[in-house]
Amino acid sequence: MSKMVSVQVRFPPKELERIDDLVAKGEYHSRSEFIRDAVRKAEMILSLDRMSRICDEEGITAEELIESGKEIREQLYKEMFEAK
Amino acid sequence: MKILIDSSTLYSAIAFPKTENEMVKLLLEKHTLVITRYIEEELKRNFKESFSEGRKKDILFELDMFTSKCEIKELEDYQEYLDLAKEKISKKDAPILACAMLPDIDYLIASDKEFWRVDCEKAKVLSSKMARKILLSKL
Repeated sequence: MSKMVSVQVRFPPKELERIDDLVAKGEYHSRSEFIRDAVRKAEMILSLDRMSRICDEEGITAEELIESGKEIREQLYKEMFEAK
Repeated sequence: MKILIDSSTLYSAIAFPKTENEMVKLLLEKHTLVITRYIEEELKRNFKESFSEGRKKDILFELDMFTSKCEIKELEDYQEYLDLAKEKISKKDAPILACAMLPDIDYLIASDKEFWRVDCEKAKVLSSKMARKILLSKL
């Protein structure tokens, strides 16, 4: 695991109670683990949404990406698995 | 549970926001999303080729942000299953199937019908539609 840096985060008491409840139930080892997991998920969701927005702005469809992906995968297989 | 997601499902999640996008968001609430370095490389190249110069940097940044939060399997992790996978599916898809054969992978979600016909040993292979029904009920 990479080096951790401490930051101070303030929460409303009710919110903290809910986090502590999840820790007490064993869903998380600690408050820190809960917060790290929440940030990780939030970043993934934001990234998905931003990628969707860019696709929309560029007028690129899933079908187009799937089609071009098939050709790229063929080429990639040759490079990564057959060239060795 | 660990869920391996093929690129086709991710393309749909990115460019078809109403269904696959919602599914992937719900899945990552409770499950670990897994991809392979092979899938990541395909996504990167495809984005580099498909997007305009002005947006390429942005989409690759977001892709990196997303994939860095997934568990990434390397060739060394699934190499022992590669020959068996090649017997069951086309060569280009064999690395995905081989990864799905790893003992810690519970499900493979793929849009390509070729995967649905294959016996993947331990992991169950699901379409996005099936994944919505089965996995989301387990949340």
